[in-house]
Amino acid sequence: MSDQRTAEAILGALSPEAMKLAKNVMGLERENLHIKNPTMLVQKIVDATRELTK
Amino acid sequence: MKLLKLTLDNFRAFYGRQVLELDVDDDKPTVLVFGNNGAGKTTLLNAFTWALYGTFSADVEQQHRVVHDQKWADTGFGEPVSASVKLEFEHDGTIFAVLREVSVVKDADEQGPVTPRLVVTEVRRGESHQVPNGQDRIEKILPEALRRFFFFNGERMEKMFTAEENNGEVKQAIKTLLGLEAIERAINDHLPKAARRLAKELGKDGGTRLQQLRDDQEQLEQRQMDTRERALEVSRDISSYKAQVEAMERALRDNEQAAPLQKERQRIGKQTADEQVRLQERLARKRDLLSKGGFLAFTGGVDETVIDLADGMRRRRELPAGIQRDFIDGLIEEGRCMCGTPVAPGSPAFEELDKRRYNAGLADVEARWMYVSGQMKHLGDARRALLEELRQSAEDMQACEDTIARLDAERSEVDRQLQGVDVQDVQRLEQNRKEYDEKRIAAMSEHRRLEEIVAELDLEIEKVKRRFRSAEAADEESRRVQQQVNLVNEVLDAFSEVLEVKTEEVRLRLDAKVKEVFSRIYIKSHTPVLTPAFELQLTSPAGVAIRSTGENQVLGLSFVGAVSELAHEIHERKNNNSEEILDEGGIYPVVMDAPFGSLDLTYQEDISAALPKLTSQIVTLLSQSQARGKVMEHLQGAATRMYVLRSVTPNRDAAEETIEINNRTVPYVTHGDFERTLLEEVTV
Ligand SMILES: Nc1ncnc2c1ncn2[C@@H]1O[C@H](COP(=O)(O)OP(=O)(O)OP(=O)(O)O)[C@@H](O)[C@H]1O
Ligand SMILES: [Mg+2]
Repeated sequence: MSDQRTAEAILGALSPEAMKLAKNVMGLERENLHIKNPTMLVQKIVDATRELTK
Repeated sequence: MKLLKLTLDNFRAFYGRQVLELDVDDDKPTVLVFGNNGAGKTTLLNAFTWALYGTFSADVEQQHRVVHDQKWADTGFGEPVSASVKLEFEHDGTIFAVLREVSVVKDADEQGPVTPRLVVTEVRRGESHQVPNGQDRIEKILPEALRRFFFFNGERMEKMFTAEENNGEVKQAIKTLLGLEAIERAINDHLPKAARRLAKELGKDGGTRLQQLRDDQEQLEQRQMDTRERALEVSRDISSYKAQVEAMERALRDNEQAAPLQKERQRIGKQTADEQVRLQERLARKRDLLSKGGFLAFTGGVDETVIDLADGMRRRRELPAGIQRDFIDGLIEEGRCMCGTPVAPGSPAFEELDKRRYNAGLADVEARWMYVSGQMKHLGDARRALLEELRQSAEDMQACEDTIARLDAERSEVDRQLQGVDVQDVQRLEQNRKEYDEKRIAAMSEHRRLEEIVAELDLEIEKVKRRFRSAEAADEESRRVQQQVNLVNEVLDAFSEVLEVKTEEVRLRLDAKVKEVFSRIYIKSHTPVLTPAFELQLTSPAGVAIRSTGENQVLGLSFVGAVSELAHEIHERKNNNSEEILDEGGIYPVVMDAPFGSLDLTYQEDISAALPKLTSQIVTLLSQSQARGKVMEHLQGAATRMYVLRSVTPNRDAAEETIEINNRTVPYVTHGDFERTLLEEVTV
């Protein structure tokens, strides 16, 4: 650990859209954790990203 | 994960259906199960892991005999028979039922190996669904790499942290448990893929600045991936070279001990051979002596007897006088001398003849006698010499035989010491060791070089990404794509940093927890340390501690306690802060067989007091002798439920037994038709 940064601080510094995407991704990852290669996951991240940058 | 119920059907020692209810009150986390030796405690521990992972721990004998023996024996050929374990538990608001079952049609007297079938069902919002990839799901709830921390045998706990155990696996499993795996998957796989897919929209002609940068990045990433793969190969090589070097070193060490022994064995062999030659020589000499002078041995006393006899005969005038006397006898008989003179008896001529007759031949006899008696005296000396020589030779041969016997004994001792030592050519071993060590060193520097390349590529990719972020977009459409990719990259960068921080945080917290729990139960000034590689070490003021069996047990229990406490804490924090996107954790049960293993009574007391605080649910399997006095008090005080494994035996010679629980007398061993174990709940 190079500095005293906490996970909270790092995430707190994200832009509002990035924060939304981060939560979205974590939700998707958790849901699919038990599946080795979830087919739809990447596309869902892509879709969420597009949605956020409309 | 909260255990709810374990249902056994004809599983091993448990005949028919036996049920263990497992839900506990918050303030009384323990389920206590008592059982005699051989009642089925270890079987019960294994029932949990068999249900979850389909395998038994290595110490379980006759693993293919899953179905209760009596049940199997009662089944006719061609009839179906089955055994199963069902474990019901709750995890993250979902109720799961894990059913593991062997089900076969009997076609032989003996049970054969069968792969059990797994059915996982989940109940969510009142609806029950079968989970198609049940084993994967179980893996995410409680990774198999961690099973030895949650389902363990106190007697085998010292094996928990030995070098053979794969710490990398443990590290990964702890990450899974503490919720870091999800973020890891996002970083390593899904976010980069999403960024790439988005960037595809920029088109393919390669003319624009953004396209150019994207293609550069892709190339760099490809190179980085290849380099990583190569590094992985090299690191596998390093492990195998290292294993080789270690094997050679072991062999060399063995040979170091063996070399002087081998020399000793050679020396003994040579001496034995020499001594055998000497023995042969002496044997030959004895034979020679006997063949040449052996008769002498039988002449003992003959010489003296002959001398005496002859002397006496002479005195008695019995000595023979040969021909001369016969001739005179003839003259006397004829009554006339050779000269013609008649020799009448009584005449002076007769007297003369008679006198002559006696003396005739005597000189001859005398001469012969002198010879014989001379020979006889010589015979005696020769015999004495022979006997002396024979005695000496016997002595020498005995000495040879004694030496050979002593050498045999020496060799037998050396052989014993050499037993099991793989005797090899030391020089060749040394050569091989050097070769592999050089290969290992070369591979290590190759690995370092590859890692440097990966790091350099990281920097370059970063640079390209930065340029991409701020590059001028040619049109509106490209600008949007640029924005999207940038957004994904922003999250990706943040996640990477978070993972680093979190992993270190988890390690530090786990380290602190282990220290805390350990010092709570252990008196010595030893300190456990969780290294950056997630290896658990124990240090004493003198450096790395040499751990006793008991110390390993305390260490193991501390680690188990620390992991579950930490998981619990993280889980609580998440529940209190629903905005939190990272924290996961959870609550985990611990199932312990013979938790006190080989611990002294004081530790048993301390641990029995500390156990209930370790985690929110503990199933403890023990025998009556392992729960006396204070230990029993502590355990019972924290128990929501208590069970007895009642052993039923057809052996009428064995006394029936009872056990006192809560001032209640409960059957422990009873007589019955056949061997089996019953699970009986005792009211608390
Ligand atoms: N297929 C089977 N049918 C019947 N009995 C079985 C079967 N498989 C195992 N058993 C019995 O189950 C018992 C195993 O008991 P287990 O090892 O679980 O005892 P334990 O309670 O752990 O004893 P200890 O206190 O000695 O460790 C043995 O007596 C064994 O004979
Ligand atoms: Mg046992």
